[in-house]
Amino acid sequence: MTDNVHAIVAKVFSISETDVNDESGPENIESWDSFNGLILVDELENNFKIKFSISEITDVKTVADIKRHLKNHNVSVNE
Amino acid sequence: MLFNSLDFLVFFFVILCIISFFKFRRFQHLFLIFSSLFFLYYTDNYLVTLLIFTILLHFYVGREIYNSQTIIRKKIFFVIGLIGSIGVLGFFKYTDFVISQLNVFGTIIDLNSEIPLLNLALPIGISFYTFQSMSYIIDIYRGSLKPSKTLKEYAFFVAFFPPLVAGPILRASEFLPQLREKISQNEVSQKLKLFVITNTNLKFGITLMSIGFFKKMFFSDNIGPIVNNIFSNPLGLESFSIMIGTIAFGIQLYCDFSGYSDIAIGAAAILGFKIPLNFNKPFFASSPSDFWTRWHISLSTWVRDYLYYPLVFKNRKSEGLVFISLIISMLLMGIWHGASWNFLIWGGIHGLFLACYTILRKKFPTASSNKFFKSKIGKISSILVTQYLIFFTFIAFWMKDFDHMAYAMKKYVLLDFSTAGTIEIIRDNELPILLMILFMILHFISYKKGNIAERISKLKIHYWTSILFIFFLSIAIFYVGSAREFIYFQF
Repeated sequence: MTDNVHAIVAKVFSISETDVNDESGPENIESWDSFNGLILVDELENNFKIKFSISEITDVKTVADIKRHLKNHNVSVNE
Repeated sequence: MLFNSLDFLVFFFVILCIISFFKFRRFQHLFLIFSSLFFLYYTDNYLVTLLIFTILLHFYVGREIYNSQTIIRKKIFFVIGLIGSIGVLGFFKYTDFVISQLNVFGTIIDLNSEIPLLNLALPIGISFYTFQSMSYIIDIYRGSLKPSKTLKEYAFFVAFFPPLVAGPILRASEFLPQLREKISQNEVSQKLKLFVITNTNLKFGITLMSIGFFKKMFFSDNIGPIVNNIFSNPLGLESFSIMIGTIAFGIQLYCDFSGYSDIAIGAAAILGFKIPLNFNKPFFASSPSDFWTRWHISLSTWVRDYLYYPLVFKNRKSEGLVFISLIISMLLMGIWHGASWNFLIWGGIHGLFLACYTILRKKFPTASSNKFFKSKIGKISSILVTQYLIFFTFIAFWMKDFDHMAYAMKKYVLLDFSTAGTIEIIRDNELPILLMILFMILHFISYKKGNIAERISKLKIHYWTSILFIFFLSIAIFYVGSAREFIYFQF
């Protein structure tokens, strides 16, 4: 288990971790589509042992949104 | 009221003047709502009442869903809202299609009577503002959105004229905070105007609108004739002629629709509102799913968030469910465009491409990290294969006649390598062909350079005016003689 959201995002979208920041999202990560989006949900849920709701999934526009929702699930994330 | 008409330019200019010169801030808010209603009334006459009905219904239902103390009551109001939106949309858009299919079925089973068609006028923009309203109540039902406190605020969101008749489809979660910020500024400070027209927004908005006019009136309207020449009767044409027709139609459709979106986003920007992009260089998509992150983004994300995700969310590891959900989602996308079999076929083919691509990705999860696909040649090959498939679907989008569609698709796939007829078509259509080549060059530059509108709007004033002058001079020289309707107005 890792508490580094950036590492998970980088792994799912096959990009370098240094290319991930809070503003990263479907608009600036080319491989972030609905398919990889659901893989990211799987990875985050398995890693942090939580379950997202559908409104949380559809609300995510950037990595900062992911961190916000993780905090709502009482997960402490590495900034 | 077409965007590419003098009527709209006068309308928009008057609005900007009134907003700039009159200092009654509350009046500005209401003024824009009534201007938007007038905009639709001018275009669609009494059918503006449907927009007013949609606003009242969803405002009330949204508030009741939010305030409901029990889940049953919440669900009841949610269903009322959905029935209201789908009912109105379905009645006006799909009734005659259903009746004609029943009549066909009746003929097959030898029934001697036919149900008469209702011949209803299709209210302009209904597919757009209905989907926008539905997303509002779904978000409230899911608990991710607080409803509008006032009818004024909600009416502003739904009726806001730039994206009203052909999108982009707005999301309340993105638009309402911008509106609320302006209203709260209005309440806090006496010095701020509700809608402040800033130089930066004005310059960016005018640039984007000019690009939109350029796409529509220079490219789309001048490429249109070759599409009609080839597609109105494709029987007997060579494979390469069909290919030229599909490429021409793809470019025409893109310039037409993204041109409209640019004008809408630009007009909204001048009024101080940020509307997300609706297109992002779709002809450089490198996979079917990449294409749908670049083409009609506001509709594809709507279908993803409100249909596809709910269908697959709980069983997303089931390949069969993912496959079927993608097909269903894309069929909806197809039928959204119009009550006609060709749109269903278009959506179905896209669904099939997406579903096959998704299954392949599941079977070969590491393929995208393969060296070949990361290389330049791999990337170019992916783009070319994807575009070949995407342009194939445009045949179904245009052709309503099944014989024509089947012939054109066969010729597109099974090349006959004949060229005599194609050379003649090229000779007879030199201007559209040249414009298609010019478009591809500009599309490539735009792909490489990023946000062209923003770059142009940041130029020094004399460079900026020179570029805009070139846009409008090109439009004037190649003007087709009358304002052509936008293709997406019919949806």
